[in-house]
Amino acid sequence: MSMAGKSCLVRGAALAQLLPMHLWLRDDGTVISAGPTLAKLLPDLDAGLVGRLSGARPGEPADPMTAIRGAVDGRRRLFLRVEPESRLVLRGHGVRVFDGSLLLNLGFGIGLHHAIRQAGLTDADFAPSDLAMELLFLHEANRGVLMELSRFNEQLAESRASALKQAQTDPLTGLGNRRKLDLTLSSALKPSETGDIRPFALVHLDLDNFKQVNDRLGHQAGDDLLRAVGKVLRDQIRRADTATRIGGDEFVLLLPGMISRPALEQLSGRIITAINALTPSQLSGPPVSTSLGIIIWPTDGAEHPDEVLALADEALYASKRSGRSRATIR
Amino acid sequence: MNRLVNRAIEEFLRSTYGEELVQALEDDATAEVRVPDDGRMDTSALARAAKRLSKPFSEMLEDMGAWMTRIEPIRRLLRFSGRDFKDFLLRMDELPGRANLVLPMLPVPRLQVETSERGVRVMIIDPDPQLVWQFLFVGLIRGMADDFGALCLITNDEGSIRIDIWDEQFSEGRLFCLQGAPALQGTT
Repeated sequence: MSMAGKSCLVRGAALAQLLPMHLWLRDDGTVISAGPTLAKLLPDLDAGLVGRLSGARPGEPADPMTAIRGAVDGRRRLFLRVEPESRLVLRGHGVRVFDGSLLLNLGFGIGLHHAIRQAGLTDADFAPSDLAMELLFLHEANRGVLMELSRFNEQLAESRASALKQAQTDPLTGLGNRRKLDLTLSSALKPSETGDIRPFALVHLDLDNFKQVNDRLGHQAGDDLLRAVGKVLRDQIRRADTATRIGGDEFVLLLPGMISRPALEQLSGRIITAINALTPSQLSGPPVSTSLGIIIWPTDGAEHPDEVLALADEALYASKRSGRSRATIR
Repeated sequence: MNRLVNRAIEEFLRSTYGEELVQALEDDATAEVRVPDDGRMDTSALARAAKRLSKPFSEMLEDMGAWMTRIEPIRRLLRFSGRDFKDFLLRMDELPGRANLVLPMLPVPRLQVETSERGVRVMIIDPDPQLVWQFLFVGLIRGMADDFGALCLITNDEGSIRIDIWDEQFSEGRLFCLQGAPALQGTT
């Protein structure tokens, strides 16, 4: 072996230790030495670069030696695709050393995971100055923390949904509360996405002779009665309807699409009968009943929730004035 | 940050002592006024558990440290921090930095590592009044010794932990490769 050959071998061994990802080439593409990590990835690199590496810079020739010479002599970054696994692109830079040979130092960049999977790399395959281990550490640590955070987010979303529902629920009857009515009514008054007006019926009702139940039989009996009324209303409405208790013994039903007077009369009759039947047996005097004020929207001069409710309220008082236990539909 | 700490404590207690204890502690906690998050690490759940189980708090911390090394994602992060047990110990001074890369608010005290003839001494530089970190680290080191398959004696001194390594390759240790599982396994 010539002196030059020997010194190349020595240099190659030192290089391999220092730069596990180096590639040292003659200008004609003959491999003088390749770092051990690179050799793990491309074991038969000695047989030639073509078919194992290709230029990966867009718009430049794929021939590896053309790409390498171009990058080294142009002092540009070098991008080499590992063939045939085309997802992995090595990047690096190089210099001309003696005899016009080319010394390249390559790295994995963001393709590190592919390289580790492809070549089964370990900690020992990376130079201590390489941040590969730190990148892997960060990647896994972030993934873990993100998973935990998304868990927390899901929990928060669930708590928020249940808090929202609670905030719109009347705890005594389980019906909606005033807030629920405001929200539902406001959205019912808005035209549909296609700009159409969506008619509905609004039923305002309050109980007749409820005060006697409270006064004579106590608040517990009053609460029981309100709960029972809640159940009556829930049973009488359809899935798309909304039943709310907006104060003491006042209830409001919102019935989308309901514009038939006969149907509303029938519904009122059923509700009155059912609530009559709730009269406590211990109660002497007139039975518990309900008066209803109903408006069918759209109706003139009512565009805001308050105006709609005021009209229903007027209808309710008309029922009260004309003898209670009846419905007024406007 | 304390939500993550609390979740870790909860998972530790659940996997070690069962759901019943976790539920009982939750009931205790709702009755208690919550301490505001002032940057301190909240280990009160662990302290309450120790009380309920009549175990010393320090022992609970140590067990939790060891438990953490058996949680695969955490174990992997710890294995990234050293190629063998000795290397892991010598690089423990990087641990606070690594932890803060992930959780910047976690108040991990700074560590200083010294070698002695038989092994390594890990000193906790920042104040650690309740020795929370010290006992946690003892458990962590114990767990990692098992993981690497090393035989060692761990001694608790004032503000430092002494690790005398008897045999670095006492047993096989557990397998570790850089390429992790495609998705993180659950923490239970």
